[in-house]
Formats: sequence, structure tokens, C-alpha cells
Amino acid sequence: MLFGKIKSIPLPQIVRIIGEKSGVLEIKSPENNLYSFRFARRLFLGAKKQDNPIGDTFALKSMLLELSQKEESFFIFKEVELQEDDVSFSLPAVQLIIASLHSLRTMYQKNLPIFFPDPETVFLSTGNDPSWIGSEFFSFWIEAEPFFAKGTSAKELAKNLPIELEDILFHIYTLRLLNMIKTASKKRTFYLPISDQSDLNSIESHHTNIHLGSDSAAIGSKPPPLPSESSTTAIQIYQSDQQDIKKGLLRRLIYGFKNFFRKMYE
Amino acid sequence: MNNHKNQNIKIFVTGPSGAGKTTFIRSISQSEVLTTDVPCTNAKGKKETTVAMDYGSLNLDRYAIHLFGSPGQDRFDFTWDILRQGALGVIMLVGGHDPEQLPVLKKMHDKFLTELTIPYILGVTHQDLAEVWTPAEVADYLEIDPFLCVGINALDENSATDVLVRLFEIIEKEIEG
Repeated sequence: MLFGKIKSIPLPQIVRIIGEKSGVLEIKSPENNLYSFRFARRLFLGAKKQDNPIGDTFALKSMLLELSQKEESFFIFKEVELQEDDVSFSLPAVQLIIASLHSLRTMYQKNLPIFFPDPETVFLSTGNDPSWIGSEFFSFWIEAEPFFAKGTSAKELAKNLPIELEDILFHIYTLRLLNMIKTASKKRTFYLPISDQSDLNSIESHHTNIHLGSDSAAIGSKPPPLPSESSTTAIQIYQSDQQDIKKGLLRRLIYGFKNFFRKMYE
Repeated sequence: MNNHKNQNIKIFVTGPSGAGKTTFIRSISQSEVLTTDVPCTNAKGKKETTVAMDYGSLNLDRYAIHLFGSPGQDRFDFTWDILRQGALGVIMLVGGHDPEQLPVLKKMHDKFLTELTIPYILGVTHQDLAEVWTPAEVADYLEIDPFLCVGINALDENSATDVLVRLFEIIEKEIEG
């Protein structure tokens, strides 16, 4: 069940999460005013304030601005199939995201930093067409895109662009909602348990890193953290027959867990 | 000879304050759980909070699994880098009943994704309640594969075990590529 306060999950983010779902988003303000938005499969179909339908985009923008000032409002999304004759807008939901982002920036600024990513989190371009994202976001995109193409963080952008870190964080927040960038992840290395050095010596020294699927990007050159002085010793993934041994170990662990707990608690 | 030696596996348990990390470790640990909880007062009625770490362990055959839990409050985030060193995997927990934890989780998750070189799983706790975010909804919120999200009632041993089992399945899946 999608619910919460819009101070924790702002409207554009709620719309993003609703995604393909169809239903009604209801937002109740502290003054007990009820705002509702209807969605069907990434389309925004219409909105109401109390029982009054919102008829045009000016009234919609005014309503979004009003809502952005009521951060204590509570929302709930009710998933239902909607009647197609009850449509006043039929806009791509992403247009509502863009419209509500503008309101958010204007009225909600003091609370926005809690949604901003960590300045060192690395983001990559998704390769989507930027032409529809709106002029304010597009101008930032033009400057930042070469960095996002190879993976960059807000901290790195602040060093290279004449823009304040806080503004960069806001733009990263918006570009992510607009699906222009995504979080980058490192190559994965596995640390498997082994008891002592003699075990290490019995295993081939060459190893390989695992690259997780096509949308995971290798970033940075920092080596993976070394294990502490505990007896958990780092080994990485081994090729050929050695890898089969590791798979077997993990299968045994999974099997062991299930049987162990069945014996213990049944 | 080596077959008789204990194999140590370290798992790092983290997540926002109130997610259920200490409860999770208490549910699953065979050994007495070491906690560093101190009294606290907050608007949500939480009576104690972890300030340094939680530790519990369990033994399976010749494998010793060590669970290290982090404090949830971000003023203790300097401990996270220390506690996660040498871990085979990470269990992130978030309270599905409390959407105010989600922005903290997102920041934590994104940062870990950038820095992390080990597999992780996300446990969405309090699934026994009627009003709760489901694992699929939290996966949508974080924009991650729903397979990485699992519902959990941290008070229930079997439910907590399922999370650990899923983590090992994820590790195996990633190895297989």
C-alpha cells in the first residue's frame, strides 16, 4: 500500500512510483481538504479538489503549488481500474512530474535536501532523449551530460561546473525522477570464507571480477575494501573448476539453513 | 584437515533507525546478542536506539555466521564503513510501516551502491501489519530489481532466516552471472 506524508515522499516521486499502475491518488491536507489525481498506465487522466474537477492546466498548476505548501499532507494510492469516460487531461504522467517539480523547487526548498542524494553517489546517463524535459532542466543537462556519460557524482560536477553543489543535487534529483540518469554500481567482488592461509595457497591465484549485467557500470578505480583482521579472508571468484567448488559451498549453505531451522523450530 | 576448521562468514546488517535491525539479529542469533542500545525518546515511541553496533552469530555445520548490525542514525554513519569491512553480503532493513524511513534508506542505498563491492538484499519489515509498503513498492521506490527486496517480520525466526537464505541465493545468482 502506497501511503505516507508528502514531506517524506513528494508528489513527483509518488507519481514516479505509481508508474504503470492505475488508480486514484488521494492527498488530504491538515485542513482536511481532499485532493485527488487519477492515473492509468503512465497517463494522468484528471484531478479534483474536494469534489470540484480541475479543468485546465492553469488550475492544475495552482493546485500543485498549493499542495507543495502543505508538506504535512497525507497521501494514499488506491489501485483501481478507471472508467475511460472520466478523463479531463490524458497527459503523460511525466508531464505532471515536471509540473510538480517546479512547484516543489519554489515552495518546498527548505526540506528538499533530505531527498537529495549523497554528494559522492555516482550517476550514469540512461541514454534517454532529453528533448522533452523542459528548458530549466535541459540547460543543466547540456553541461552535465558529458560527465554523466562516463559516470559522475554531484561533488565531481561541483568541481567542474560553475554551479553550487546544492543546485547540482537538486538537478540530479530531478533528472533521476525524469529517468535521465540512474545510480551506477561498481563491479562486484565476492569474499568467500576460508579458514587460514593454507586454504588460500591451494587455490589458483588468478581471479576475475563479476560485472553485473548490462546496466551496471564499472566506476572509479578504487579497489574493493580489504577484509579486516578477522578470520574471514578475501578470496575472489575463481575461474573454471574452482568456481564450481564455490557454487557448491553456497548451495550447501542454503540447504543447511533450511534444514537447520526446520530441525530447530519445528 | 581443513574440513574440520570453522569457516567464518560475516554479514553486515544496516538500515534506518527503527527498521528492526536489532530485533532481526536477536531473532536469528544462536549466541547471546551483544547490543549497545541506550534509552532514547522520539515521536514514534522508540524506547532504545543502537549507538555503536549489534553482534550475534549462528553456526551451521562448520560455518560460523557473524552478524554485525550498524546504528541507524546517520550521526553514527562513520561506523558503517568500519563494520562492513570483510563482509560477504549486506542485509539492509527498512520499516515498511514507516514511509519516513524511505528517504534515509534511499540515500544510504545509493551511497552503498556506489561504494559497495559485495551483494546485498533489502528486507522490508513489519509485513505483519495491515498498512505497510510491500517489498515490490519499496523496489519501485528505489528503482531496483524486486528480487532484491523481501518482506520480513523481524520478530519471526523463520521470516528472518528467509532473508539470510535469499541473500545467499543472490550471491550464488551473481556468481553464476
